Amino acid sequence: MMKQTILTIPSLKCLAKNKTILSVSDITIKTGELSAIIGPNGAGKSTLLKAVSGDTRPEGQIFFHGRDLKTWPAYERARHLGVLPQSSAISFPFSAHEVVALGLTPLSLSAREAARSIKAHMEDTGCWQLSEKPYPMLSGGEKQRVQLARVLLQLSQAQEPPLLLLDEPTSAQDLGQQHSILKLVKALCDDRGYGVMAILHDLNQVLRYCDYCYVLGDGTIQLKGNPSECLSPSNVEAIWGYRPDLFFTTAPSTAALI
Amino acid sequence: MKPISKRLSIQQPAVSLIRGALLCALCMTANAEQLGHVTTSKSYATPNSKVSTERIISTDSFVTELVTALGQQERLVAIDVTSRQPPGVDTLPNIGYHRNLSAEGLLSLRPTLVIGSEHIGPPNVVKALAAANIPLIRLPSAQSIVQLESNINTLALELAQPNEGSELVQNLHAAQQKLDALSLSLSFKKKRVAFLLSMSPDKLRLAGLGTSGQAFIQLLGATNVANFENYQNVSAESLLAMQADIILVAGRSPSTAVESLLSAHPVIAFSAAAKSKAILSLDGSSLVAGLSLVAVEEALRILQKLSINTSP
Amino acid sequence: MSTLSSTNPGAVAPLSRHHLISALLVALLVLSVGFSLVLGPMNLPSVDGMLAVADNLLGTQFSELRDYEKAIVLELRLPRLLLAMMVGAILAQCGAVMQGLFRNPLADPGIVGVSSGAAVGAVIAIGLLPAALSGWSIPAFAFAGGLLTTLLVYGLARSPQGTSVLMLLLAGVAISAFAGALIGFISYFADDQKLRALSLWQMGSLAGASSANLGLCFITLLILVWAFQRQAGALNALLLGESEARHLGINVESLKLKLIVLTAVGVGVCVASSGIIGFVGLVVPHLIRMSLGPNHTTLLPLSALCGALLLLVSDLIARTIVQPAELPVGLITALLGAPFFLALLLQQRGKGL
Repeated sequence: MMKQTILTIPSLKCLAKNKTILSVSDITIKTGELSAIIGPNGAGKSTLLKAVSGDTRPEGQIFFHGRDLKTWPAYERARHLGVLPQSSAISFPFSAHEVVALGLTPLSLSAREAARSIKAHMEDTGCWQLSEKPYPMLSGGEKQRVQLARVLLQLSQAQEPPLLLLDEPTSAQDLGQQHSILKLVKALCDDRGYGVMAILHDLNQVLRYCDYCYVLGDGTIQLKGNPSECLSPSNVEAIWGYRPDLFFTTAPSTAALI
Repeated sequence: MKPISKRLSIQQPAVSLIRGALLCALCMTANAEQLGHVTTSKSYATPNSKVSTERIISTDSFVTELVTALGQQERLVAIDVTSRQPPGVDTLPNIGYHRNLSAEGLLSLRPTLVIGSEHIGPPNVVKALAAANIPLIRLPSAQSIVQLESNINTLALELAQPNEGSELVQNLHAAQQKLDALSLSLSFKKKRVAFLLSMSPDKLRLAGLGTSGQAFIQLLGATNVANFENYQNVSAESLLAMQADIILVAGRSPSTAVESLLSAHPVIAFSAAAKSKAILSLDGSSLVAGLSLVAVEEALRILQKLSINTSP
Repeated sequence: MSTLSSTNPGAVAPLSRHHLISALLVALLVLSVGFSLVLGPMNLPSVDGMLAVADNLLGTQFSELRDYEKAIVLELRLPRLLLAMMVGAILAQCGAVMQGLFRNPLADPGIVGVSSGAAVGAVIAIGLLPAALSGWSIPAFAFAGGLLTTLLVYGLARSPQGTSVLMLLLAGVAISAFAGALIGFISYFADDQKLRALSLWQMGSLAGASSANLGLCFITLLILVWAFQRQAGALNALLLGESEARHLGINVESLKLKLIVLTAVGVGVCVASSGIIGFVGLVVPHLIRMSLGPNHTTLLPLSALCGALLLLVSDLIARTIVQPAELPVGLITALLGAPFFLALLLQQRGKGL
């Protein structure tokens, strides 16, 4: 399968109070690719994600499917670029079903199609049984899955391969939930050609699931490339200040850091 | 001396609205019975009746006072929230606050005449009365004896009570002569008076120009220490600095007003007025809507008391 | 879990409930309109009261009321009940929108400064302008004051990063305090009569219903209902959070500005025609949300219905409970609203609200 470029950032600069907090270049996300943004706290991971999601107005250009992201009409962009928030505090007692239904906002679906689509995405993310529950009462993991169903619904009418931004998708989850969500995301890349950019903390998850990684430090890209090449014990020590032991599991392609 | 009218019951001069509303609520049960009584005893207005002043609504305390003083209390079918005098009228239906009347409420009492002040409102009440062909008399609240007299004359004419009216006016003239004589004998023209409205004990609300307090001071033939407009809060210190010869305290409880003033502001005990025992209280309700007959009486009482105080 | 694709628990169940509650509200509203027409200090035959309205609409002569009695129904009760319904509906909708906009179920149109700004305008009109002009100067100044204050608060809360809800709330609080000081300052120098007019105005009354303010309220209500309903989906998305709404393709900044201006206009018109009437905007959307959830598609129209009902009933109480006098309707809404609201809050405590 020919890989198509979804996102390219030739050069990007983010300022805060006249200080450069992020300066990156040559970032590319292709179809079916799960890219990790990693780095120590304060490295600029969230700033990068916010720049791509359109929450901030950075200097430089971001090309999305070959077009400047700023020139995309709002709804069209929303159909192709989804963001899974790290946490979403809703103080109003929406049901889980209603939260997912908000993913319909940029779409044009008949009521029937909408109902079917909501159900399908809730089943995909394993939260259909939560439909009637008030969202504020759900656990962190359940909320995450409901939000993911919402974002996937939002991207369900994309004409081009969509881009999914994940902000620490595994933070509020237990071990099993972390892997099930990453497996689901990986499947989206493999089966549906999604491009995914995810901020992750667990380097082992990066090694296991990601195709590519950008290692940020002090607002710049320190390393990029294949996770198993980037995340050598010496590199990890240089960036995080901790030297891990490297193990290889029996499966040849998978490494583990402890 | 024949009293011009009897003393009013306790009534705070500046009725706060909340209190007014509460008063309404308190009067409610009594009024409901009264209302039933009133509306069933007379079914409809009698348009052919020669006297068109059968059912009167008074929307101001001074109107109620004058109507009663003219001996026409029987004709009153409803009064406003500030009318508390004479005893008996307060069992009449209460139409609330004169600026915030209910048009339908007034009409429901089937009045043949509504008497109030220039403040009657809201505007749709005036319109509704006109639409129902109910005459409305608006009297200016009195700031002088001249105005008070003219109000008496107007009402005496409207209510066809010429004899009662001229008697009232004569009494008023007699009272004024006494006031003038006493004022002269006490050389009040040179006396400076501070008129305090005691709404809460810790605040000194001093009557300025254009207030009922000023009207009362003029009644005494004296000069107001204040040279500002309206009522204003002053400090005890500035009150002392004004060097009033006489301090008048108008409150809801005249019997304790002086005491509570001095206990809240002990420094006033050092004033010239205190030294010459010229801090006196009066019934604040007599000045709710300008000068009333009771206010004239209060002025006389105060002058008499001062003349006793000053005579050795 | 049902396997039938047509059974959609998330959508079907609340739909029928929504219809039930709408029907209930409409029925109660019709009932209250009837009561408001036939009840009052003046004891008129109920049927004739109703017929008078029909006569007026159809040009018939069924009613046996005398002319002045007809005038009571048609010129006192009818305009007033219409004003009550429209003001109630506008206030409730504005409350619902503000709560959605601030993502705070306790927000109130008063919070962005409309009420205090309007009060400053009215105080200026009452305190500094001649009383002869008060017929138009009070509503006009109240309206202008509300709108200006709202825009000022909004301007203060705006920054290159967008509007901060926290800043908006704090600015609203600060401006309200400043407005309070201004009101205190002006009332300090106002004379007794003006002071009384002022405190009366601040309590709100629907007695001033006239064809002019009825027309203004009607047009405002139509515009608001239409404009708010168009933004119902966007308001829902906004409940997710501002950036989430932006990611869903919503122009959050323009949405916020639009809603704030519309709300300021709505509340300003209400304040101008009936003074300050509190609690309707706070309590009504809350009630609807508690029974039907926060979906603005249903919340907005039902809030309008429920607000109309609440204010209509409050005014009915206000003008009959102490007859022949009447209470300011703002006192009734506060007396009804505040304890009710507290009770509901207590009941909801621990339910994740």
